[in-house]
Amino acid sequence: MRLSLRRRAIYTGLAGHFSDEEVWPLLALWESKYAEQPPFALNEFLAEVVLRTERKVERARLYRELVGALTGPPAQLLPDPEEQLSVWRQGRNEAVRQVTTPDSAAQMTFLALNRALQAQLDGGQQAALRRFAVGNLSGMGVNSELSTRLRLWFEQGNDEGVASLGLEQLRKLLNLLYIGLCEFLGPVRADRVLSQAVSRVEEQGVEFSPRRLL
Amino acid sequence: MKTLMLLLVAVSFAPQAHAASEEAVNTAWLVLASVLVFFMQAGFALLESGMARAKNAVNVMMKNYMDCCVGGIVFWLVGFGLMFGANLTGWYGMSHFAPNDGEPWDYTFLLFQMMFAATAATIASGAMAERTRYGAYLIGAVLISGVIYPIFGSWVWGGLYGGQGWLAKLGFIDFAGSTVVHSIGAWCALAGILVLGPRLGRFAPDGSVRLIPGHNLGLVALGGFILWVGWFGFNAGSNLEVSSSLGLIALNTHLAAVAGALGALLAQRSTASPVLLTTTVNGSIGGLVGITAGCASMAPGFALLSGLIAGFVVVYGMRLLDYLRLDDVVGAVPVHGFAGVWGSLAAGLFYQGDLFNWERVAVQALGAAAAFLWAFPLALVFYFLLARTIGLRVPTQHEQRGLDFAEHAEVGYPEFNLTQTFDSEQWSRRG
Repeated sequence: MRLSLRRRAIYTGLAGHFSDEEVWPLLALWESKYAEQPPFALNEFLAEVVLRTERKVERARLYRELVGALTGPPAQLLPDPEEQLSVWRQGRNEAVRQVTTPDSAAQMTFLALNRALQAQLDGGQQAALRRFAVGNLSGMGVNSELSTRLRLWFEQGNDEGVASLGLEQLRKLLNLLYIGLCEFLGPVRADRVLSQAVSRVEEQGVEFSPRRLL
Repeated sequence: MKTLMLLLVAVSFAPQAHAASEEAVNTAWLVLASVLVFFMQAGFALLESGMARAKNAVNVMMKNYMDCCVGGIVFWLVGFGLMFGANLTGWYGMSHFAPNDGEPWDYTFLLFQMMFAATAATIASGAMAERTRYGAYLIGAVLISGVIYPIFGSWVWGGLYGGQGWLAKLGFIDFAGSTVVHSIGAWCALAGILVLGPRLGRFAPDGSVRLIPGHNLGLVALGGFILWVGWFGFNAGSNLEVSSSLGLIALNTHLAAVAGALGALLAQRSTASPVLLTTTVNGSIGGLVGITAGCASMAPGFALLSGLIAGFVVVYGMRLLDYLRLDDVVGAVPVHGFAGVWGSLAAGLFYQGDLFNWERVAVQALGAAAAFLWAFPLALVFYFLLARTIGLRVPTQHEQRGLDFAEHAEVGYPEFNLTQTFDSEQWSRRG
């Protein structure tokens, strides 16, 4: 399916639920992050829509409508909104930047936060925490490919392992590390270690606040 | 002006037209006692909140605040009828649901009993603190106040409007509720903590116990004092009238509390453990629970002994829970459950004028066992169903962020709490 047709389908599905003001950033988000993803990423897109809009959306209904638009006859779709989207992009540079690049900034902060956490542990504790996280990745609900990449990141330290994680997934991953800290250090020290890591990363003046990962 | 002055003098020096009736005096006493028992809710809130971490302080307060509200309504709707309505079978009451008209004494008695129901319900909040969903907890409080507590209560205290409970017929003594109120609340709490599981990291991988200190021991001590004050209303109010018995009841209550604290201190010293404020306060409350059943039928020396032993029961009970890896945040199960059982047995053992009557002790043991067999499995099934449906335990992210932020979007110490486990700049993002 061509990009323009998919864009029309997504636009048709979203237009019934969101105002123009809301729909352009969501469409821009889809284009920049999900347009080339496999069909099951639609669910992930919807989760991010709900998170970003902070509105009560009938998620199941919206999902059905998006799937219906993607699989139904093109004649029933709204016209391609490429031009309006382009106009919106020109007028809203900051908003565009926010929907197209927030996760890379969040990923950088996450990596810094992880380093700050690990720096407070001795070698044995670091290894135990990594083993714990690898053993409990299933709790994050990620697909097997991502799970494998995360395992490699934990085991080999390849930062590209977190490159495809969205903000909510980064929060879940941080929580997984926090659970591990509770397990090995106890909850009181875990709170302290996490707090100190946040403070240290904030002192580095990172673009994306580490508090947003909590 | 002269006439007015004469009138004032006449009124001031005129003898009272009539003395307050006996019922009016009793009503005034019971209303005052109800207020004292209600004040215990504040004691529980302070004690439990102080024993929780700062990031969960508001949540614990909220639970204590609201369980007496929802519990009060449901007790008025169904609980009072089940507990005190006409009890022809001996197993539950069948009248006086949602009472809207009655004699003046009915209202007074209902008020007093409503406070008792709130006490039974709130015991679970401390045990289940720091990891329980707020909504699910309140549903549990409704069940305790509306069904579990009143039905067991009808076995012991029921039949105000006809009939008698089956345990009462056997001669079970529980003057103010060591078993009826405290053990029932504690067994529900035990079921709750079993279904919930321990807080993150409470027990280390090697099985050792990790201390998770409360955030404000001043609140704990103040809560202990307030509970102590309220207990005078709890026990002496249960006399239901102003009589010469009140002195003994209040004295026994006080003696058991002081001895409970001493017992906890000695128990801690005997095991070379540090003498903790939290455990000592729990010891005094255990002493109070331990005398609640027999406060009106025991000589002061035995009240002191009951309290002293209750202090030991609390300390060793807390150790037992740790050994079993059960995470009871405030020690509610040892304080209200184990000390409640001891209190029921002590009421039989030390019955004034008929000491160590083993038949009576057997009846007391039967009553305590019946309380466990009724409340624990029912609460266990109920909490299990809650866990499987709407969820009983909060997600781990909420435990990290703290329930104040995750469940209520407010924190107890916005200016002083320096731990950063949640995003304090994004209150809308709590899910």
